[in-house]
Amino acid sequence: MTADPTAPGPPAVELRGITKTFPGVVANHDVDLEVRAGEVHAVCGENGAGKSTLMKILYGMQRPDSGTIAVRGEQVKFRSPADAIKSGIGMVHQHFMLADNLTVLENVVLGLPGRFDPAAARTRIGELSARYGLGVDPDRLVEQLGVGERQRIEILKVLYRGARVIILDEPTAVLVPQEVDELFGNLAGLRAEGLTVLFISHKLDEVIRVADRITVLRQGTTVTTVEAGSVTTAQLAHLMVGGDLPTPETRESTVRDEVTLGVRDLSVRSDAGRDLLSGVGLSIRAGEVVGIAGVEGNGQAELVEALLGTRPIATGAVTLAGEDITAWPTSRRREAGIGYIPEDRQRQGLLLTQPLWENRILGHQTRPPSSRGVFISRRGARKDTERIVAEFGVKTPGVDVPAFALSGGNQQKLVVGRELSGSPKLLVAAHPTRGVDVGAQALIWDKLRDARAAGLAVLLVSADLEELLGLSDTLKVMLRGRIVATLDPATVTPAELGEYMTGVATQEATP
Amino acid sequence: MISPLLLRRLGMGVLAPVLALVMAFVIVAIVLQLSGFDAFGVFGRMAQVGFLDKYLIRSLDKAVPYFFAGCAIAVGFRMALFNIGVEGQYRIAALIAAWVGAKLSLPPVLHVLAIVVVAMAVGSAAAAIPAVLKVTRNVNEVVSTIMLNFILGGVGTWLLVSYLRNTSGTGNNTETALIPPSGRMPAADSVLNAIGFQVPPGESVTGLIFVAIALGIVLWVLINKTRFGFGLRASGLNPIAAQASGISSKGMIIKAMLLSGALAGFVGLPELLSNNYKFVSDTFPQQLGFTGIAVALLGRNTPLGIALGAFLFGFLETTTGALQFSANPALKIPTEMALVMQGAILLSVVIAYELVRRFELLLEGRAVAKAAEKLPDPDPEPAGAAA
Repeated sequence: MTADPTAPGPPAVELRGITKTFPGVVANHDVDLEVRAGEVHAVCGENGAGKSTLMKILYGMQRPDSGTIAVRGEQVKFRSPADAIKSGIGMVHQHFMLADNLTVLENVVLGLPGRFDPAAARTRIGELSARYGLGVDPDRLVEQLGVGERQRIEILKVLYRGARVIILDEPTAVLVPQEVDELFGNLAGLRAEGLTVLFISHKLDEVIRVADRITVLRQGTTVTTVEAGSVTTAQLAHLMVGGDLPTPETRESTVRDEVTLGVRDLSVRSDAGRDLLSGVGLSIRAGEVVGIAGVEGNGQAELVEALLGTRPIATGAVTLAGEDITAWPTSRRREAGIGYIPEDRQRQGLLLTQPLWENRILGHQTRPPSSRGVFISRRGARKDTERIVAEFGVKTPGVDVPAFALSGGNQQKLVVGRELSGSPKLLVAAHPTRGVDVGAQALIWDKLRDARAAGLAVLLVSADLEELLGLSDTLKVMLRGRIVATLDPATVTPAELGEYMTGVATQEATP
Repeated sequence: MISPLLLRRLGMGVLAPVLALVMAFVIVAIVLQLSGFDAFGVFGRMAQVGFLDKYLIRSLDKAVPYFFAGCAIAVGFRMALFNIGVEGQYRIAALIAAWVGAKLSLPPVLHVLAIVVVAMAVGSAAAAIPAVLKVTRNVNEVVSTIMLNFILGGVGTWLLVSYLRNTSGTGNNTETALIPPSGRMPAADSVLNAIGFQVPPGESVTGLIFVAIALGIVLWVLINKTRFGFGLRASGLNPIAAQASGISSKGMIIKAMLLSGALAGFVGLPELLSNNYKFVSDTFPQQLGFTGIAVALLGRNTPLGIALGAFLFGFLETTTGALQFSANPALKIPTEMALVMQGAILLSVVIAYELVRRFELLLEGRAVAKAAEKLPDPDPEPAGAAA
């Protein structure tokens, strides 16, 4: 399935046996990737599967520990992105790198060596824009442009520098559907002109739509490369997740009668007044796990933040164990028993330079054993951190080591252990096993099940179907800020789920 | 497992300042040599006079306001808040406190206390402006505090000239009336003498040095041992995580700025309570707020470090001052050289601490990874959770 001997000429890019380790984590292990000249090649995999690291290696931002890179059949060694650009490789980052107060023209030539000839640059931009159908006006100010146009400028920048291979890192993450369609049109244009596109994504339907071939990464290594026309989303999901989609084990329902979390008509608007969350209603009973499925960026993060009280809401009401907490600040909600496993543990859940026991205090700073009156309790926090370390099998030489020194899985175990401390009523878990190793994942799942059996209500937001189907009692699908379907995880098929997630299928509104 | 980690941390703790001082010495030596002075002669002389009682005492006295300024800055720094406005805050606080102090007639201890409270309150009020701007309008506090330095300076001058000046006084200076003796701070000299110092005649150390020590201890406890301090540090280290943990970033900004402003209120007090007993527009100490930034950086925002940094700055100032009177032209360096030295030390400290910190993180990460590898796999059971 990998190399096609009939492909003409050497591959545009060939990576062989790429391995890259960071302290405590193997980001890439023996990865092979062959990209033919003139194709749109997608690299897909879950978050933490090693896509970004692989692309950083190809773009010269990181050097592999071992393995080789060949561009058009020639072995290369990139020391910096400048080397990669010289070899005709360009990258469009997920987060645009444009100066808002400059014109398109100025942005395109920014950072180029040599003399700046505006007339020549304008001509060249016009040519490129016309040839690849980018529709870029060189004299507009970037700040006046929308997201899709900005992305096209990023692509133009890369083309201007002579790229023949363009890496697009999660290009659709920031786009609305119409913009995605336009982007895909542009990519087709690039391919028609003989350029090679490497498209990084975890959105399966998009990958199948846009790519000629797809390479799937899982846990840092290549699973396979397939022809896009020959797979379905379900098969691709299967390859990404590994193993079959689990039939949730037959288990006793632990759902109790009392409603722990009640959400009614919850709406959140962006600063610009756009609806990020509209009219969301759901309820979670004690001992129940409600899973939220959906393509990322459809309001899941906003829902989590609204429940935590870190994002102002436009309309709606939230109750916790019968009490109206809509107006409560985050601190009071946390004290009332809301635990929170953040999506990004390092950014949202840890003080990386501080010892583990201080991290145990975070979010519990007003409650024993972390504090005593107005003082924090070093002894209580240390002792309870030792308990977490033992119960969750956190691999660490002690509770005095700084959090950054632990591997991702162990950091996550610490976070989960902390958030399950102090008998919370509700746990808001966003991607609780993202980017952790299989062992840690299994342990975290077990602990969540135990807590659920003990009466914890869990809101589980996840992109991992195995996790969603394996843990949830009820499954809700979010699309464009709304809950569009309520499903039974025991009977739902991945195909159905995919259709609801992408809006192909709709369900009558369920209360 | 822990003791080697701890040992290394201690080692690093010593390494950083030593590295910084060596770097600073080399830089200053080069500057002095290039300017035609005898660098080693200068250093020798500074060390020689610096430890004479007279200069030691002077350094100590000078260090007190630096310490207060450093603490005021450090409280903000701890939560990544840059209160560059300590300069304006302490000057307006001192002006109002001087005026109130001169008006009041209270018994001795109460009188001093009242002046201190007024200074803290005015400092806090001045710092509240950028805090409110930041919380409500997201105005960057660096910009607003710098601008407020000018505004508060102007407001102070206007208040002094129009309302607060001592009209019954003699001289030409615009100044407030004298604070009566009941509102003055006794000198620390007798206590210092009792514990083994020799305060020479003509020299004196402000009694506020004991206030500074007490404040340093309180501040250390507040930052390291209390919930408030934890919130402050957490907000500084990771504002997003702190917010999600229920630490209100807006609340912390307000509290930290008010505390910083209150501490800034202390900066002008040595002049009011121990030296001049009045606010004199032309001669009231300036730039202490900016020196405080340097001192806080030098002291890594910990009270003990700030105390040492404050003393070092005082020491440099008095010893280079002493060299003015040197008969040897190779040693008679200009007073500006003290500023050069302070600058060199500051740069060296920032660089050395950052280098050592990164090195330490690297070593520590490796050590923990190694130690963790040796541990048996502690997972309770190789759970096949998903089944």
